[in-house]
Amino acid sequence: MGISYKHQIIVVGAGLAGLRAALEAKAAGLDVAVISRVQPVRSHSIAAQGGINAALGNAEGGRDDNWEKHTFDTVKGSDYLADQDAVEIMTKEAPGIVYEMEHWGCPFSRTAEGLIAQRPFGGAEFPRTCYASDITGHALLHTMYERSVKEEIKVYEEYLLLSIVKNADSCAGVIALNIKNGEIEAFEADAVIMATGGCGRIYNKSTNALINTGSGMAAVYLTAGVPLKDLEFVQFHPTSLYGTNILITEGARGEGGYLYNCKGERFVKELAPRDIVARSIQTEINEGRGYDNAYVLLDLRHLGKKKIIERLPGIRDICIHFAGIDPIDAPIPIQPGQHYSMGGIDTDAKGATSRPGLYAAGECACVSVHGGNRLGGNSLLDTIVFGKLSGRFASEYVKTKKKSGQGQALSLHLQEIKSKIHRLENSTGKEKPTDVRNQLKETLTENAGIFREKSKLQKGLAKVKELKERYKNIHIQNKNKKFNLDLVRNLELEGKLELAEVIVAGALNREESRGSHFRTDFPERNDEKWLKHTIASFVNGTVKIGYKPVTITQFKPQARTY
Amino acid sequence: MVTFKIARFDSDKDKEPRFQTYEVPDEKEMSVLEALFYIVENLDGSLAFRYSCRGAVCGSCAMRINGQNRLACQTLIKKLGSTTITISPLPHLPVQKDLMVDMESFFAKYEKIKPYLINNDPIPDKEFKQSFKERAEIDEMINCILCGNCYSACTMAATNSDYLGPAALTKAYRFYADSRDTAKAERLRIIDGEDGAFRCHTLFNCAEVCPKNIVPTYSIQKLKGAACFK
Amino acid sequence: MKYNKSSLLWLLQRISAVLIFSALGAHIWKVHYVELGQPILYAGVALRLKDVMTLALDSSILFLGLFHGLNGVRMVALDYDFLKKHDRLISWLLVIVGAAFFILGVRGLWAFLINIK
Repeated sequence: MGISYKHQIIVVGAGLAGLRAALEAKAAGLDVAVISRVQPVRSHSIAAQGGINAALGNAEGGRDDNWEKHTFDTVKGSDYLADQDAVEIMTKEAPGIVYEMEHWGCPFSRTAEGLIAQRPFGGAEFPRTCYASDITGHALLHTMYERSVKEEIKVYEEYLLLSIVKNADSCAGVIALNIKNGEIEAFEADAVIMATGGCGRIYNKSTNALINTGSGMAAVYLTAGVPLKDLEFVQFHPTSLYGTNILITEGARGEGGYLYNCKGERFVKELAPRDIVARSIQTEINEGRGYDNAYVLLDLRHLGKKKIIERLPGIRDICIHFAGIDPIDAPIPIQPGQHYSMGGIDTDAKGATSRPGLYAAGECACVSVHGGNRLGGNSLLDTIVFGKLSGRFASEYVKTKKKSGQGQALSLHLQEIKSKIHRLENSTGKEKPTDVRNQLKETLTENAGIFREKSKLQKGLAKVKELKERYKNIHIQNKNKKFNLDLVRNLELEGKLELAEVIVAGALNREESRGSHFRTDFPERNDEKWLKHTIASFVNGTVKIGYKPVTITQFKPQARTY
Repeated sequence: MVTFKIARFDSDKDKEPRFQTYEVPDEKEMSVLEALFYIVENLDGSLAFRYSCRGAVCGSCAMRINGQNRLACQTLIKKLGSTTITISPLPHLPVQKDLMVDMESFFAKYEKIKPYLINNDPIPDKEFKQSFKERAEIDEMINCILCGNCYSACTMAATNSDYLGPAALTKAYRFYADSRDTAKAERLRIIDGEDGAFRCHTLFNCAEVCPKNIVPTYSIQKLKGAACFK
Repeated sequence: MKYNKSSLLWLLQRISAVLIFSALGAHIWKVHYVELGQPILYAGVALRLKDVMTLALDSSILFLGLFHGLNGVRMVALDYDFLKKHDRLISWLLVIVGAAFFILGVRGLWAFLINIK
């Protein structure tokens, strides 16, 4: 009993990576379905602004660009933590997937010759970032969704993933909460592709959508026996709008915007990679050269009205609606905000995890192509390239797989999950979920933020462990079945707590500074000891940290200067 | 303190919606969406509404706020200029629970207009070329976030359940006007007919509520013209 | 050029509006302006109503007005689910009403020239 649905491949998540994976599986002739927390176009891919990197050589001054140079910039940007074989795959695939999206209808901005327009971005030698004004993610996700409508991809909307079900040596399917009616339902599948995005909402100040709670990463970590990789590498975007922390694209600086402190000085090269710019801004603020000890200014005024309206209309709208200022007339108050998780579910360059039949792609995965710091414009690329590849390899796997009795594992597991949820719903604990959630966010921002050090990380880890204990006595106020936000958000909170532990423990262990991970007590990169990936497994209710070597092909690590 | 009067309704239990009142502290720059979260976290965990990006790009949180269809995330309390804020779900759509409406008919119509690029020419090795001018014609329409504000505000969509509505028609024009699309005749066939573009009486209700300042009426009028003088 | 019924009717609605406007102008010119200040006499009216051009003009205003008005009524009917179901019936009713009014009108208009029974 209890198995509600059956497909050959289940994709979890309907952003760019998930839809691309589903399209690939469909093209391979398989029965594929997507389950998603939200209607597909509500996914967080929609919020990407600046663009997608591919060495097309379309821009003036970018004609000599090629995939090798894109690889080098990405590897250097990653502070040499990226696996270079995976980066090569991504950069070689890049032009092909950008052309494919264009053929599918993506409304890219154009050059005078009618080619896809490209703009300069941080850490890139050439203008390589293809864009659709400042709504590139929106343009790409709508195009991808349009394609999925054309190909009649089945989407189960408003399901929260609860658990991955495993067989002895494979994946049996997933269990999810149907948010619409509160039922716990099972999806049987020969292969599962995770594309659930990031976990930014563990932090206080985040550019991420409110649904980016890391529930997919957490489900894999907790229930599939698959480790997370490099989760301590958290990208802080230099420019998020002060107040709401809504993203202000790197494209604003790519188009020529300047950063100013309160003394009216430009204090950093605006197009350095994000980790460097974010640290510079935070230093200005910490040392009293910001405004209200909280923000600095991003000035676009010298670009002129025409350029702002043409290239950055979305940014202008955001500033007008959310901050009440028009960047044509006034500088934008900005501060760094959590933006991206370089780490994620440990996969190889095929998107495969250590569990046969379980794949992952996009921000929830760590291939690793971003290493210690992701370059702007590489995340949209990552989602589509590895969405496609994981779809392809999952399809190959399903076609050659021996059938096993997965139904039984599913129904057994379904009962377990049902009783777990039942216990949670009927818990008589006194702990207020809001307190736990808010304290978790504060703890992470305070102790595992842009600047980290041993004592703070230790404090943070202790606090996270305390919150994990308190979560056991959580009280859920709302007992309704239908659209129970209280329940959904508290289920997400459980995963957040576990991921937070992985982030803090990984950061505490890593006694060096690399990419986005900056330890004030160990300010130098240490390749001898730490040129390796952190591998975090869930063992006996807590995190167990191990390590794994980095793949280096053509570029030997060298000092990273810009 | 700001008083929120919020429509509560569960299609399984209630016959009629009722309004419930909540008091929310008036913090500076607080959006209506943040106020709703304040209510869920501190006052009433049973309130239901949709949310995702909180930055006016995903289209989840469309609802009727003080008599007008708006995005809750994009609406700052101080800009409403009143101490009582009334919120109800988008009108003319079936309510699922509280502030959540069933968007099925909206997306069914979106799918009806073949919302994808059709190009039957041989696919080039690189991109299809497109000039600034050709791209400029669809500049406005590609900003649509499918929030449903316009569809819900449209009188014709409310009284005629088969009318494609402003969002789907804007999308239809976005592809019709795309220089790369080769299915012009087919697109005009779809939007022609009494439930297509010709049902629009140019009331501009849609344009008034669009959070992205799109004027769907422009696209619809263009389609009417194209269908008449093809 | 192939027209769908709805686009054709939509277009004719606009064309008829323009024509009504200009034809009304001509009617007002002819009936009221040209003889402005002259006493209105039965003989004068009778004379005018024997002029074929005047009669043709007034008949076309009648036709266009009926078409425009009744087509407008159909458009309003199509706005509502409960009326839209009966589109065929309503359309035929409107055609019959239109034809009847047109015949009645023409009968009165052309009475001085031809006696229509």
